[in-house]
Amino acid sequence: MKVTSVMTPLKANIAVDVDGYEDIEFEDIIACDLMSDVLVVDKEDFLLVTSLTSDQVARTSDIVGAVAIMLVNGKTPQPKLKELAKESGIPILTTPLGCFEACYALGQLQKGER
Amino acid sequence: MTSSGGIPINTDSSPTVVLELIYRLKIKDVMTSELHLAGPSDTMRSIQKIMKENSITGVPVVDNGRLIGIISVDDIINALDLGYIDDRAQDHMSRNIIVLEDDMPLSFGITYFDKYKYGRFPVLNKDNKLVGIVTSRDISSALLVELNKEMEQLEQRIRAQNPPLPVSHMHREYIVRKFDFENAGKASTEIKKILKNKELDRKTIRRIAVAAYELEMNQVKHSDGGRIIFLFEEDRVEITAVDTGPGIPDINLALQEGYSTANDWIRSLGFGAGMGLPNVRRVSDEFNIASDLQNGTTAKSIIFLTIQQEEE
Repeated sequence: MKVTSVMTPLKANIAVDVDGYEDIEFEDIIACDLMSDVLVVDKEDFLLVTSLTSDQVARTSDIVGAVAIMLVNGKTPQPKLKELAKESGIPILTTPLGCFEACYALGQLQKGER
Repeated sequence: MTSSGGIPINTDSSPTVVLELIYRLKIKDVMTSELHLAGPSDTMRSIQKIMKENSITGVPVVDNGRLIGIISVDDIINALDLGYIDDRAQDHMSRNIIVLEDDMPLSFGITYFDKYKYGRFPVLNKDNKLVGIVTSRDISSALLVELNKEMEQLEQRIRAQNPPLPVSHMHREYIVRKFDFENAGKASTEIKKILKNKELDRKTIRRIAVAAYELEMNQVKHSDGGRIIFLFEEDRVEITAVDTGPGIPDINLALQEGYSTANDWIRSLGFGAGMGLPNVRRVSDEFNIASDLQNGTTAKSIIFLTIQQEEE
């Protein structure tokens, strides 16, 4: 699924724009606020849905190979997170939806794809 | 001191290279040939001037090219003290001079310094002509220069025996500081970058990166600081995390999934789920950890590369 295709359904905005983000696709979705738990996941090329806004979100995403980050509850990334995400080439989106609503909407979209 | 030849050097415990040097080098290899001489009728005062201008402590007195005496700085001090500084050198010089020959081995010279307690010895050639002067300082600096040469040769020999590591070998070390969340993960990010350029498969890169990151974050969160050592070899990658303390009281407990000693603010950064060490073990092919409360913790993760590359 293309990252851009979830923006309208989730009322999301792009908070960190990286080159060619329009073409980035994700295979899976991981929703988690604990980066420790994200590090245990075996999936790759996933969209990370989280309400954590510290720079470790970008570090963790880079280490495990997440392709994009979705911040929920209308949160905006901290400056250091922005900087690191940009460096790692990982776009950050923000949605006003809560974690459950965002995940539900993403689940519906996934179902539609299959 | 040993009895053999009376050399004031312990011949049993000194490195053989030093002993070889003092036997191989000759007095003429270490002596100063640039001489500052005086004549028998020169005044003590003029000799004092020679010493001062040339920063030396002894001046040979020569008559028609023949060594007849020596004036040392002690003689000058006595002359000043007793008021005969304007007398001639021949009246106060030491005439009973101990000399060295230029073809003698250095070991002989060292023995003389020990035996006679003089600060310098004039050096004669086999025609009894004064050709140089040697001080203990000359010997020290000559030995240093020669040792330096020996070291260079040794280094060259070692280089010839061990050609530089091929490009497939790599070694990096990163310093990790306690609670430095600003830079936490930087080492692992760099390690991942290096691995990306190695054209390994993504899964392997990810396993290594996860191991490095978990170990690095553990050092930031729990240790007093340490190092992450990254070793890349043909068939494996090793990530070693060494810290200086405080050590893990119960390793088995720390290896249990969900066990955590992290505090609230570490949790607020998204860490401290108690998955760190079990996760390192999970992604590693081999995993060792040793810890004690005195020396801190060393954890090593090994990930083999061959199998994954063959699967490609």
